[in-house]
Amino acid sequence: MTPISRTPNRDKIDSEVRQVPPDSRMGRRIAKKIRERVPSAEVDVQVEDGIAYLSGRTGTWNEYLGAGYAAGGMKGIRGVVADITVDGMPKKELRRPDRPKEVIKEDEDVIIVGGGVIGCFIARELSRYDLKVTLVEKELDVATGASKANNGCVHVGIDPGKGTLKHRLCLRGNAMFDKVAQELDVPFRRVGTLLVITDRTLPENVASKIPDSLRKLVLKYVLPHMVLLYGKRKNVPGLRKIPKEEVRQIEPNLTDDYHSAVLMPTMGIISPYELVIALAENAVENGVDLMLDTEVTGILVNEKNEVEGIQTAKGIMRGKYVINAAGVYADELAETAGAREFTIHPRKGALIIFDKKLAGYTSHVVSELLLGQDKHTKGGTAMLTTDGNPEWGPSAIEVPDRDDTSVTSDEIHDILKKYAHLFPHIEAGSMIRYFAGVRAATFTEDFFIGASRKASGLINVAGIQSPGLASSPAIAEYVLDILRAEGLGMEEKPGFNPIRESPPKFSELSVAEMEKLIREDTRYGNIMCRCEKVTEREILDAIRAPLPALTVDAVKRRTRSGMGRCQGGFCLPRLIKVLARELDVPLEEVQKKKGGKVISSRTKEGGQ
Amino acid sequence: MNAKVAVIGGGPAGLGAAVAAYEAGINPEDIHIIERDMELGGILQQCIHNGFGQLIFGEMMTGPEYASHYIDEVLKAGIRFHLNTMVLDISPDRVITAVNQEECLMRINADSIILAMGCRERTRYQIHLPGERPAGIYPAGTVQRLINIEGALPGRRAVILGSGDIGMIMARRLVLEGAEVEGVYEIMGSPSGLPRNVQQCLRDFEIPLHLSHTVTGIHGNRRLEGVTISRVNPESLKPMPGTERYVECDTLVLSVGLIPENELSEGAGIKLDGWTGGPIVDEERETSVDGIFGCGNAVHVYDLVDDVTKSSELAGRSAARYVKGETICREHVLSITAGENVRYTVPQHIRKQSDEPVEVFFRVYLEAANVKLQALVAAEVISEESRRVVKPPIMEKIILQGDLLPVDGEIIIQVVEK
Ligand SMILES: Cc1cc2nc3c(=O)[nH]c(=O)nc-3n(C[C@H](O)[C@H](O)[C@H](O)COP(=O)(O)OP(=O)(O)OC[C@H]3O[C@@H](n4cnc5c(N)ncnc54)[C@H](O)[C@@H]3O)c2cc1C
Ligand SMILES: Cc1cc2nc3c(=O)[nH]c(=O)nc-3n(C[C@H](O)[C@H](O)[C@H](O)COP(=O)(O)OP(=O)(O)OC[C@H]3O[C@@H](n4cnc5c(N)ncnc54)[C@H](O)[C@@H]3O)c2cc1C
Repeated sequence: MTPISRTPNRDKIDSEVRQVPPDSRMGRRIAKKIRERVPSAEVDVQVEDGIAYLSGRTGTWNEYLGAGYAAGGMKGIRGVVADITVDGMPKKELRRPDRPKEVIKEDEDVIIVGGGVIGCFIARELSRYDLKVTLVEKELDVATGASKANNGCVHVGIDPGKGTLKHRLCLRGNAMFDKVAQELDVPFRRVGTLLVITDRTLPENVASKIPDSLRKLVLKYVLPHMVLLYGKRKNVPGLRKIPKEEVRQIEPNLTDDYHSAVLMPTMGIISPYELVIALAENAVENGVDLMLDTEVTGILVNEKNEVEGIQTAKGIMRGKYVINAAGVYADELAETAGAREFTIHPRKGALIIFDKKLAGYTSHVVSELLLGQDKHTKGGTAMLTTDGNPEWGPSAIEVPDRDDTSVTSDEIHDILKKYAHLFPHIEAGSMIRYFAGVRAATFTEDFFIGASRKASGLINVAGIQSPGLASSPAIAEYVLDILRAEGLGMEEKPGFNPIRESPPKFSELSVAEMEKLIREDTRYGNIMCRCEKVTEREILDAIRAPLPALTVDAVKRRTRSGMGRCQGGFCLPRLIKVLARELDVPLEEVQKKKGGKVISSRTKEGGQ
Repeated sequence: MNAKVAVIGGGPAGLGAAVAAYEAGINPEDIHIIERDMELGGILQQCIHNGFGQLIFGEMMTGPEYASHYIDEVLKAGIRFHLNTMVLDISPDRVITAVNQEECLMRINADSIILAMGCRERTRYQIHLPGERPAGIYPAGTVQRLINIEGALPGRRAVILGSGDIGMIMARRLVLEGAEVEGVYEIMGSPSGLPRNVQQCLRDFEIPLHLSHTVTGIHGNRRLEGVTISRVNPESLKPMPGTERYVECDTLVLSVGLIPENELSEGAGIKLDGWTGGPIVDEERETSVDGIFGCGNAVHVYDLVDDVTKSSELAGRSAARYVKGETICREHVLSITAGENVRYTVPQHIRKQSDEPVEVFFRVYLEAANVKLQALVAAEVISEESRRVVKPPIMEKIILQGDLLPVDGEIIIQVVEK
């Protein structure tokens, strides 16, 4: 986290009220800027209604990004559509095979595309009202995209520029978390951020110019003070400078090798996938129809550019409003409605997780203030998950492939090195897992939320990168306001139940409680995952829940089975048998995730 | 519930220890074996290949055959055992907490405990294997369980990473089941499993073994589609750029090492050895906590089950002696230190008063030919043996005669050229 940096569009909202140059002049200015920044690129610029349309070619992916950012950073530009080919990378043809024309849903009020935290939060909020709502997700579970592969930070809102949607919605979202976490029985804790100022805080070229004594003064007194001022300017409550003696008490394993520290108490941590699952379950229990394994291949619009529904792999669904919460695919989805207002470029982030036996090793979200870093790729923390595992990262790497969730050796190595500055004594061998998620970045670097100006009835909720999770309650609230403004009547439903209870977690209970549960149901006495001590009953709870777990990964996200130090080596053979039995499918049909079967067939003697 | 000897784990180590405690005079009613699986025998139940028991029985048996010999002894003696029972916690004062479906929650106050939990497999994350995380990547022991117990074939075309014994055995098994094994890749310059397995599982089946190679990429984010293989620099073990090769496969089997299972031991406050991953034990296999003993793969990873059985019999006898109050401690602890070309030793020290010979097990770092294994006390050789060759995959042993042990100080174990 680097509070003292400016995102490119921090004054964008203000600027919209100011005088904005006409489209053609704006286009020329952007073209000039692209020529300056990426001289070899051949890019044509059209500006229309605040959207910059870039077309042409560049030599490399980096040049492509450079061109996009040159446009996105311009005041008055609210979206960038980049139709630029990159040499050597074939332009991906949007494949549109024929889909069943059968109408499977007649008149939905709202159809939500995408079962990430955004889609599920909106669904849950809409389920308060007397509306017909369907949520459509292409995978076999919710929370399979960025919403499962993130830090789970409920950010305080100090990073985004003032005036951005990110800033406003993050501040508001953060404050809304206590209530929703409590209603949905999701682990959430306000652990606070500890921002430390170290010898690496000032960039080399600056530090070397300042005399030693002055530099110490800056690091010890001036910078923390500036952080406090900065926090105030961003309306982040409760910041205070915190003395070293106190830090030693609250974060004893942190290095002593730093100059000063600031505590930001409103930072929270949440289990991101548990939140999404809880939201989806609560939405389903309040009447939302959740359709898994249903890819949306297009948005249907009539000749007046009004949304009429969607085409899915299973048939047509008709409805008045379509909410585009399709994550990294949101731009491709909007394009099917002829409504191109933004382009997503994927930015991958990898995280590493340490053994739970180190629970208590870290108790805050600990960040090092690093000034002068690339504002798009900075960041990352040494923190903990709600289960107590230390968690480090993420990295930030621009990747052309939206499904690239690989973790490279360099990423693992760099993360281990970067945070070893903060926690030098952690045992690298106790790392048990790494994974990566893909951020849906836009070139304007702000959330892109609003009713489409090209297809009426389409609401884009796109470009939701960090702090998207932290902002999610406020994003949902904002989207409901937009729907109202677009004419959707909402009447409260008397039976709405905001409460959802998660089934008991055996390993978290006292011995007496364990005994009581096993007496009630002996399947609590059958431990299937040895590392996380997950019982057969909990696995059955997951498979038989209102939103059933259909895959190995879905069971894992609900029960932690397979999340421990042996990473499923022990429980996998046992778990697939239970899944096969409960779902009533042959063993060879059981999947880790959609398209990922666990075994290929029975052995010669197997199968009886 | 009370027990004189409580054994955690019903694999060959737990069985051997229980039987030995019985033979040393403990009432079988007072010996409890606690096993989380549905049957006794431990990992042997899934090892249906031939290769067990040569040292003890003078013949090659399958895993289940070997196990059934000891299971019969347990039954004959009337030793008590609890199946489908998972031990959750052991306290330093030897109270065991376990759960199962019948008794629900079991608490056993034990006069002595023998840890015989075996080991678990290293995962891809512990060796920093980069790439995607699709279905189709399994540790070799999991593959063995899938095939031999569940009757499930994990895939059609496999790559094996690591030349550990289980990996080589599974390479052969996969071929016998009609799957294709593209090759076994080993990062080191020599195989990490036993030479007999290289011959019987790989060469005899014409499965190529590529030394100094590793996997540097995993492709496909739903089911595995292929891996990138690179040659590594034999010294630094770092992949060499430009040597990458894409290999199509739907299964990656990992045979990259075993880790003694010791979460319970840590919970009881037992000190572990960073090199073995198991508890620090003395020559009677007693750990740093009074009355708690360890044996088998939970202490350090063995190559041969026969040695597991022998170590566990020692632990069983020791526990019996402890319970009967016959243990006499030495005045001074003798430490055993790993010297030249020795990675670790088990035991790590000698604490008891006895004239019996002490067997010290160890592994070497590097392969070497024509060497002497030596035990030194104050620069003086107290025991020496010759070997034509020593290799890291083969566990070595040197015997110290009880009457030659010093009163105090340090014993250094080393491997030097003749
Ligand atoms: C490494 C990393 C760390 C992060 N850390 C934080 C953090 O600490 N705090 C924070 O606030 N934010 C964080 N973020 C950002 C946060 O994860 C995202 O903002 C948030 O998850 C976005 O949610 P979403 O619902 O928009 O997208 P997603 O979760 O990606 O959901 C989109 C869904 O749409 C579905 N979909 C796509 N196309 C179709 C289609 N055609 N038909 C049907 N379904 C479709 C996808 O399958 C997917 O389930 C992080 C992100 C990353 C990558
Ligand atoms: C694939 C493979 C091939 C092998 N091939 C050969 C060979 O050819 N020849 C040979 O001599 N040796 C071979 N071995 C080695 C030999 O099988 C092992 O060394 C031996 O099984 C180890 O015995 P153990 O009792 O220490 O561990 P295990 O056999 O692993 O037994 C440990 C037992 O403890 C139980 N347990 C663990 N934790 C708990 C708990 N908390 N509560 C209750 N119970 C618990 C486990 O369920 C298990 O049953 C092979 C091993 C493997 C894995």
